[in-house]
Amino acid sequence: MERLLKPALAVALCLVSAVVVPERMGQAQEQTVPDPDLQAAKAQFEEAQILYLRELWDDAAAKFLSAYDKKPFSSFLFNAAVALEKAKKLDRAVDMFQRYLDKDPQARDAADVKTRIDSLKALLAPPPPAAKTAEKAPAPAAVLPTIETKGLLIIESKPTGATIYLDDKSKGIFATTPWQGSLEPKPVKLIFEAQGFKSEEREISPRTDKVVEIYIALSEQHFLGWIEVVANVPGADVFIDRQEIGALGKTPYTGHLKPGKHMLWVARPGYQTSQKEIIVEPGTATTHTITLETVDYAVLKAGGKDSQGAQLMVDGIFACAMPCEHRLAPGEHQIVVQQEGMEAYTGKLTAKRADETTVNLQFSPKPPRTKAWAYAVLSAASFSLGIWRGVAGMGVKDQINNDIANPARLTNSNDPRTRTGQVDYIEADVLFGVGAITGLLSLWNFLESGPPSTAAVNNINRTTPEPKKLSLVPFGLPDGAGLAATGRF
Amino acid sequence: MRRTILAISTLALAGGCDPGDFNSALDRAPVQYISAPSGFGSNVGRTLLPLAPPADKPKMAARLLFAGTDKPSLAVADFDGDGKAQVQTATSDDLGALGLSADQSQGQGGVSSAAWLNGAGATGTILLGIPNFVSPQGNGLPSGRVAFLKLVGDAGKVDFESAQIPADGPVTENHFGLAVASGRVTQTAADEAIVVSDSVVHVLGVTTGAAGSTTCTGSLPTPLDLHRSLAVADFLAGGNQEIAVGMPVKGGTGQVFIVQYGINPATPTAPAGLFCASKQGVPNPVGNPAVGGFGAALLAVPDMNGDGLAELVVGAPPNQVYLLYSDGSAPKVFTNKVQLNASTGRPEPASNNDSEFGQRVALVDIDGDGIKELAVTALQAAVGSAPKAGQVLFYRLSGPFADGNLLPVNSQALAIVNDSNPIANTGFFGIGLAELEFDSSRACAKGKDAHVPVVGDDMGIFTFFRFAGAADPTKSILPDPRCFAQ
Repeated sequence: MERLLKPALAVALCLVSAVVVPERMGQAQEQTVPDPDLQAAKAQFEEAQILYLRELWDDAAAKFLSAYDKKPFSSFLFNAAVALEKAKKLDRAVDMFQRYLDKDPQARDAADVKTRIDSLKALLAPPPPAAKTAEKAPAPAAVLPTIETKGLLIIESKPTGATIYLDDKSKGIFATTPWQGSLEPKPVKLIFEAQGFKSEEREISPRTDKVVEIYIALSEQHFLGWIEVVANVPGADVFIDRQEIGALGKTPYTGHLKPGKHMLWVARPGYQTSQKEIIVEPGTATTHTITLETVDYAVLKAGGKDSQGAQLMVDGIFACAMPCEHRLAPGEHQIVVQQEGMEAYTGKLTAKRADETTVNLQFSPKPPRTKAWAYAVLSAASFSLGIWRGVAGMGVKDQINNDIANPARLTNSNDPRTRTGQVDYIEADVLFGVGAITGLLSLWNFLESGPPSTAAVNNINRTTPEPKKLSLVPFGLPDGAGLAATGRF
Repeated sequence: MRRTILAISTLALAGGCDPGDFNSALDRAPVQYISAPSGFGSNVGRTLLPLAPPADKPKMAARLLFAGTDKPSLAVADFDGDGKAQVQTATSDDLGALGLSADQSQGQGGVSSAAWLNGAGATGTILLGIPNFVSPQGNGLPSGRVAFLKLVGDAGKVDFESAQIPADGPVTENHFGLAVASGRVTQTAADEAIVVSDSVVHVLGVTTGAAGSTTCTGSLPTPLDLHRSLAVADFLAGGNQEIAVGMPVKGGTGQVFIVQYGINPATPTAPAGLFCASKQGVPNPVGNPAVGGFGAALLAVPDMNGDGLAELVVGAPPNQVYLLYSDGSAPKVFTNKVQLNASTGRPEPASNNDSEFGQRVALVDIDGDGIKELAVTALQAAVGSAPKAGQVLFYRLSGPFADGNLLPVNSQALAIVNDSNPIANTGFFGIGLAELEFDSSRACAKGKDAHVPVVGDDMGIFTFFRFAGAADPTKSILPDPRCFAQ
């Protein structure tokens, strides 16, 4: 017996030092605050066990009671009773067992202890009269079953009040936390449950010679669902419930959602937006696979400096007031952008499905028309004077012709009026010429255009994979936020 | 706005006012004017010589040679019926070849007279008198020269070529070529060149190609004024043509000499030659003051009195024109005259009697009746408000008239022409007179030849296709020979 107990004591000492390691359960982790009384009680218990193993029963019993004084665990009374019984101080043992029952009337071994008390009391009772003894054969002395001290199991939880099951919930509730007591020294599974918290399980091997302290911090129950959204097009924007607040992420997307119905949109330029209603079950993980279809149009984005209010004409039809976006049917299109006071931009564009063409206009201002109007006025004046001189010359010519036709006149081919008329005509021609030149200059200036408005045209096809890039995407967590680095290689 | 400007500009550029319209209109003007060509000095219209149109130019209706008297210059204006007188000027090379050196200083190389020679070997030769020519071999004085010109067709143009070597005047004379004429004085088969210097009459035979042969040296007095006129016709009986030389004398009494070829009655033993047959002054001087200008202009006119001899019209400025004719006595001389007095024969007031009436005379059939009218220049007649501008008056020569005269004394002129833009005092309108005959077979006016007067002044030449101011305008207006709608 001694040979067996010594190794056991050594193991017990080692275990005692590790028994109060706090349990980590789930995501929550709580550290219990050391209780000096409990520590003192445990120290007394350990000393008592040592004394008990040395069969110093009285001392051991004293120590158990001393531990009880520190922490009134009923097991200490039981152990003190056992030590007293070992010390053949049966009456005190009976008293101590009785205190044990008084302390813990619901103890699982209460019946056994009561029987033991009865047995001990029987041993302490005076012998019956001799006659009777003589007449009958002497009755054998009562043999008590072996009894040993028991260990102490202290179970606490956060939150308190958690239901404790042993091995199987079908056996019913074992206890509620906090609980201290002793269990049979055999492996047992503890099951903890509390309303609103996730149940936890723990397998332990109770010892009779140890104070085992178990602290369970239950994590809150999983009330969110976890979803994963994947699409045939990576990088598509993922919207949930509200698009106006912006995309929550890009495909492939993962995150938690409150249980219930949600609306899921997956969108990406160049593809038709996919919409899907999903149902999230709490504590579930669901993968949603979305297939995006390529759009059957191209998008023209027109903008640029000074483009506010400019008119975008596509194939001669007003499309929109810039800056704006306009959908184009696949094919070749004539683009004209007109802005007040600016030179018009004209260009051709070949659109394919899912193309996104950005036209960044850089307008060139039209030259001022002051000079053109000045030339126009000069031209008009020149023409007016020219007509005046021309009419005067025609009058002279008519006069000469009339004189030539008049038999009574001998008009000379050197008629000096000819010079007058020719001067009139030359003046008229010069003025017409000046008028024509200034008119052409006016026309030129009216039609003159400044440097042509230009546009930086950038065309990308949204169905073409985006170039390799590395980006940081913020994401949210139930208890905080973070940045996720995503890369495309 | 842009369209309007463009339309006006286009219209103006496309149409405009063409100054050429005036030229087109004036092509139809009844009076065509040829201004002095480039290279001509003043006195453009003094020497006028109508030429027959060339045979190889069927459309050319008339042609006129004119020359400048100030400096060597020569031009031909052809009237091909298009209404324009296309003028072609002799180049300096042409002039050099003719002996009209362009190097001659002004006044030394001018052509003061011209005549057209006909006859075998001479047809088409034009005689040019250059009286102020200074011969390099001479004594430094203007001994004068005559040149012989032939116009040759050259690629549609006229080429001025020399017909033969020019003839220079003798050093003993001055101003050889003051007047030139053509005639057949010595009964030759071809025209002879009649050349007058200031004191000598020369008859140059041109059929041999040699210059000069017979002279009448000493037969003319030395004039006081450098002007001579010539008329060659059969004025006197004898069959030969005579030379009438007019010698107006400024401040004295002008005379007309008749030079005849043959045996001089005064020297019957001498061989035939030129001699002065008559000296005519103003006939019947009683009542007619001596006229210094008598002989300023001479004109042989066809027989008017039926004696078969030509009559001689003598211009006697300042205000008279005479017709001299023979009385049929032997020797025949101009003993009779009729007078056309400017004071009575012109519509102008008597105050214009000093209008140098008679400075030039010519014959022009202005009414198309086949009888030529007499054209008389009143060189300094007032025209409108322009005094001394000059004009030309036309008189009928279809007498005898009612008064028995051969000239229409006291009659009004059939027509008067003048510069429509007269130049006061220096106009000299009429300083040149000639008749331009349009061949009806060539000109546009079919069926009737047209005769139009050509009048020169110092600045240019006028061709009159219409007349105004005539007593009977319908008769004075001939079909216009020019090629435009009549």
